[in-house]
Amino acid sequence: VRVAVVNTQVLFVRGGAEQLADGLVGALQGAGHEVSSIRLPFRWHPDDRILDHMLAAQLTTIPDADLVIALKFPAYHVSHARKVLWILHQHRQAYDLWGTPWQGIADDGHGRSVRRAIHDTDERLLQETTHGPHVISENVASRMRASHDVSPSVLYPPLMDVGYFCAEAEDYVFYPSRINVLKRQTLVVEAMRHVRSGVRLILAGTADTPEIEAEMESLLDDPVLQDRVRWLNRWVSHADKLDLLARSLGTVFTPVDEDYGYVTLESFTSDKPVITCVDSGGPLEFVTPGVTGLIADPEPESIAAAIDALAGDREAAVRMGQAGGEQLRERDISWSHVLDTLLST
Amino acid sequence: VRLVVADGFRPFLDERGTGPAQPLAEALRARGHEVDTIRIPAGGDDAQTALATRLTDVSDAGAMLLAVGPPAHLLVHPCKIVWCTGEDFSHGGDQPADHAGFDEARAVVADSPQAQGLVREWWPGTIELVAPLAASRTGAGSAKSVFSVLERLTA
Repeated sequence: VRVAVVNTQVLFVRGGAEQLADGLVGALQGAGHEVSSIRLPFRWHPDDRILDHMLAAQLTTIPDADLVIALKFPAYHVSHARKVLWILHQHRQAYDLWGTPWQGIADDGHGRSVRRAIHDTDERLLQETTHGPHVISENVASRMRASHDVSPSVLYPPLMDVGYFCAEAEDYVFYPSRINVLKRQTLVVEAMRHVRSGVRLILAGTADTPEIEAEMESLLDDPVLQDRVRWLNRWVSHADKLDLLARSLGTVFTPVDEDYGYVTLESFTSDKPVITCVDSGGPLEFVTPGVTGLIADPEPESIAAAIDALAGDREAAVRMGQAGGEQLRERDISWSHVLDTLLST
Repeated sequence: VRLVVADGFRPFLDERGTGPAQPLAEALRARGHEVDTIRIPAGGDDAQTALATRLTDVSDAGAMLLAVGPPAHLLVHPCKIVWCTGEDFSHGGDQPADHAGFDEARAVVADSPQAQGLVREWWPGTIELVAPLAASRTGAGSAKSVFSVLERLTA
């Protein structure tokens, strides 16, 4: 079968969405399908560009594909008679981020009409679709149900990489992710001021913007934090990341309303517990407090208390990590399950 | 410098693309630039593809866009080089948007007199003759390299 995987392209940015698309392409090829990877550039400023790029996607056709799997706004508006939606997320600035500091779209007459056009176009697509929509997490499903009369089904994406392992825990917690405002690494750095157990924090990832990089550097100028936090401000190889995961006491992953969050899966695949926050979104579908990790309030003191709790009962930390690993195996989050689901529709 | 290299391709049938995007991207990386690539899916209705490409504004991506195969010349970017190669425009500028795509380019180059001649038939602007990519990389031959045009525009 000729399958086109259609994703949105933000130039010079690579993150979870790109990893997911690459993983899907690899899995389809591995299953013997002919695959074409298609990425449609997207720019969302000024607001009008959103409408232009939505229309560009609608005008894009892939006549030689037997099936199109479409992943992300606005690329999922590509035209094809046999299109399966596996949605990573909608344009969140027009939905759940509207009315928050991350809204992006202007809150004036024009901005509101752009927002309405996004809602209406998505609504038409979702009502017309006969295949799916599948979404990558319950969190994404729940946001979609809040704005559209649909019943999306959750299809969790597996990890792309292999080789995860578990080693004896050392005295640090690990936070591997791009550094940005929504991942809230600065909150965890602040939390380290309150940690009493002597556990350190290792951050791995580069900053998305010069502003957040400067903020992090300024925080880490504090001698107290210098002793407690190590920031690997560079691209960390897969092997190094696996090693840092394996030797950690656990993972800290405190984003704001994450769609899904590969970090949770990476941690559990390494049999390590996860500390997340009550408002972190996707990770909450996997972290059960006291069973597979700990859930803190998004406050430095609360996160510090969770880190100290892990350090204070290492046997419990090991048990929670193993329970996380067991949970993933039971849920069958695998590429074979993903392909069976997407190709059978 | 951050640079974007763009061309078109026909999914499944011609995944290699309409221009030398990959070798050019590699050559630019070897010269120390950070490069990303755009591949525009073509093969459907030409006018529809032209309009979709014209609606694709990548103005804030990189210091320069190198459009090396149709319909990438229709992309919107304030610093665009259109590179005509082989028989890219053997049908002339048959889409209304072709003229706009060329008019707004900071430079239009062709890597052979034939490619240059095909565009001259329908577009009146200046078309600089440059060496083909292989010769540009090695510095062989007498024609100027595409890299010198790029350096002039990014200076």
